Amino acid sequence: MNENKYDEYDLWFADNAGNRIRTFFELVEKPGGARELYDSNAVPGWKRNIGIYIKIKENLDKNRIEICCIKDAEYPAKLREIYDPPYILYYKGRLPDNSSRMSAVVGSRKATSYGRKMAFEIGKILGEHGVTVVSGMALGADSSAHRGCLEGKGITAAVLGSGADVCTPASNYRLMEEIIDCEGCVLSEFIPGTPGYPYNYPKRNRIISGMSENVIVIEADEKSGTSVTAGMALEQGRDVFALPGNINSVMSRGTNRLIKEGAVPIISVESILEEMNIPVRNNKKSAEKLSREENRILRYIQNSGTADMDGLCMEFGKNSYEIAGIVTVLEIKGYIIKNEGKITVAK
Amino acid sequence: MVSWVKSCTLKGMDTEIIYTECDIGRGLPALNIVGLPDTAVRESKERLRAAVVNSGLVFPLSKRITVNLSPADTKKEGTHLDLAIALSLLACDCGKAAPHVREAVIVGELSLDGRVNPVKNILPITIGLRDKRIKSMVIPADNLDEVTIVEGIEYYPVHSLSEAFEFFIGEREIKPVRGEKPALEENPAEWEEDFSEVKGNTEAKRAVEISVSGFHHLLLTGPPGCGKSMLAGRIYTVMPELDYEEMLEVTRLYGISGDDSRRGRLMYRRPFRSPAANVSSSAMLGGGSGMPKPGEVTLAHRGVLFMDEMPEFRRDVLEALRQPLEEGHVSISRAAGKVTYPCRFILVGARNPCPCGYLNDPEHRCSCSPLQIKRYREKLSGPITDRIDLFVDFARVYSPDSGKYSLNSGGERSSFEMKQTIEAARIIQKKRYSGEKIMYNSQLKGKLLEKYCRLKGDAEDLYSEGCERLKISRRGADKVLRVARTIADMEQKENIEMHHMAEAFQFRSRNSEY
Repeated sequence: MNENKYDEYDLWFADNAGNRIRTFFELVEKPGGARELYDSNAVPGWKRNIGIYIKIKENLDKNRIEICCIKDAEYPAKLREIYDPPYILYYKGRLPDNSSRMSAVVGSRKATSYGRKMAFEIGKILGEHGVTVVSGMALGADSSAHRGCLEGKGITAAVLGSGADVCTPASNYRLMEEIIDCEGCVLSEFIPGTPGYPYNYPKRNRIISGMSENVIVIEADEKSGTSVTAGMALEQGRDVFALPGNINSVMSRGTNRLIKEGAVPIISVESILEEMNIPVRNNKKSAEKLSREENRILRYIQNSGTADMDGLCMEFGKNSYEIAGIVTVLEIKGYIIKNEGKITVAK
Repeated sequence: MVSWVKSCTLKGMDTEIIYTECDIGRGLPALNIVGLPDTAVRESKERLRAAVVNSGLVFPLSKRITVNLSPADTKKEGTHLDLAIALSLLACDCGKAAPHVREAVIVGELSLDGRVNPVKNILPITIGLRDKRIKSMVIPADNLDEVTIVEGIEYYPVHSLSEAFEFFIGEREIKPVRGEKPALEENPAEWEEDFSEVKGNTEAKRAVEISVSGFHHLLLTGPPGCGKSMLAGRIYTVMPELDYEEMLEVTRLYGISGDDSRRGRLMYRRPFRSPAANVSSSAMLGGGSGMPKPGEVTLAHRGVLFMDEMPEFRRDVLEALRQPLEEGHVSISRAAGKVTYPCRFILVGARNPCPCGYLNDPEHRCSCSPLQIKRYREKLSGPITDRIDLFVDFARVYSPDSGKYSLNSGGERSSFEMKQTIEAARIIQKKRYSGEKIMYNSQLKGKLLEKYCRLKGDAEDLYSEGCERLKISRRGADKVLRVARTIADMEQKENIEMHHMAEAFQFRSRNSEY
């Protein structure tokens, strides 16, 4: 494909320019391009280590990694608009079509079961409506968002803080394969083989928000990478949606604060689509019939958000084994989720 | 001429009968003890010579004396063989032995002045002899108080070697003492701990009840201070009481282990062992120098093995629990020989949701990295969790009405009530499995599981639908079925009904993303 258009000197240039592309773009646009820049040693401090990039270029095919430059038409259009886009993107799979809409779904790696469930549902509904879900493939909320999108037969893109060939975290290897198999892609601005250094992540986050027209924040602690991404999204002029949560939950403090500062609260999964002016397709299954007792308990859980077995026993004056049976039925019918002892609403 | 006397030695848990044979013949004067004696036994010849002379008896001088401990290929340990060796030697010299005394097993350690000293480990030895249908024993008088709790044996207490010798050749009568079942020292109803002290945690209490009813292993997951240890520490109060045979068995194991805190008394209470997380695998399973000693798993036999902070245990210790959990006994091979100890216990594991304990806690911040959490969870993966049927997660949920959990809430289920349900469920299982090789619902698998877990119409539907929708593996489904069987037994129901099945699903292992 486009490998031949760019040589190792372009890779060298992209790696050195990093997020300061605005400063150096003029230099590379000159006749002779990156090669001339390398030979003339125009920028002091840039290492003249072209050997590394020759090797990388040779290995691209073997690792089935492709590259896309900011000058290419396939380059994500939104990303090109931001202040500090990467010069070259490495990717595996297929870059999302520029005609499709993209939303970023980001959240804590330690998201609660509520956060993971909502990330999944949001990913799913976006996927079902043809919106590409961009996220970071981290554990917790990110993975759930990718999985949800795949479940909704959508296309999803994962932006890594390591090289595109380094699966971070390694335990998400299967998810990565699946993303690629389902016409999505895994992309990164870092040269292949780069490990996931912590300082890569803020740079990675600017791509996630940069590619997307809006950023949906699932759960975030007040001082977390996710909050940083949200701030970055505002700088880039992206819409920020935040999932409201229990004010006592540590994981919801960041999102609730975002709402206070003006982010759009997600009051229902469909509300995101409404905000994006996408007509909601209604393909809900008819609700399964519940007994009176089941209904009462479900309503209680819906009202209080989370519940535990002791609370339910106390509230309904029943023995734990009676409550347990009802909870199982509600779980099987998909109304609630019980995880780590907490019962939350599923839909 | 040759004479023989019966004695015994401990081999692991068993007591083996030993014949001490003695031959006095011509040759270079010597006293040799053969038949794999250990150092303590070999040294006995010095005690023997002095004790015989100081008792005023005649030690055969200028003779070649050979003592053989038969069977000659078993290693013999302990000083309790002294008396038997001395009697065989004296009997050989004088050529006499009273026939009724020949049947008695003789144990005792000699003092230089001819007194008979008490021996260690007399209880495990005696209990072992009872299993071998030995009817009478000659024992040191100082050990008499200890052994009389063992029923079915007549004891002849002796104070000195001369007394024993006279008895042995029929020149003296000793009044035998019969062993009897002792009265219980304590009433179980007055134990200081009770489940009614546990407030709330209804689900976990219910899990304990199910666990004990069907002998299912249990894993509790919850933040620090939520009551995991409190629950585990009370499980013995709801277990069916030990019967006499079981008490003897437990007492014997404690005796062998060298734990003599209850020296000479029966273990009437179910054991509760909670080894520390840094326990070595030989302390856990058994081992040590010489004949392997029982470990924690064996000391928990017929009781509870509580592993607090289970993921903090060493990997090799956790992995080594497989055989004990699966088979109910543990085999230990050492240079000194192979020993098998029983270890049928209920495993109660406890762990935090993450290393710091505060994951998902509404009020505390969890300080663990996702990788740490993943590693922590993975420590218990696979073979061990496969053998655990019941999983309970404790939650700390922010609740506006937490004032409800006041001290005086009352109406908590007491140990006594729980025990009644449990005992009834145990009786049903005993009856049901009388023709099978198993004893408890937790041992059901394969064909037996199909045979004994009959599902009533809608329970069948719920089972298949639940397993499918909740994405439960084949093995997980078997666990649900076993637990449902126990729940049905607790209600005295022949078939598993829908609500039993529904409840059983709550105790499955839930895969959270970490």
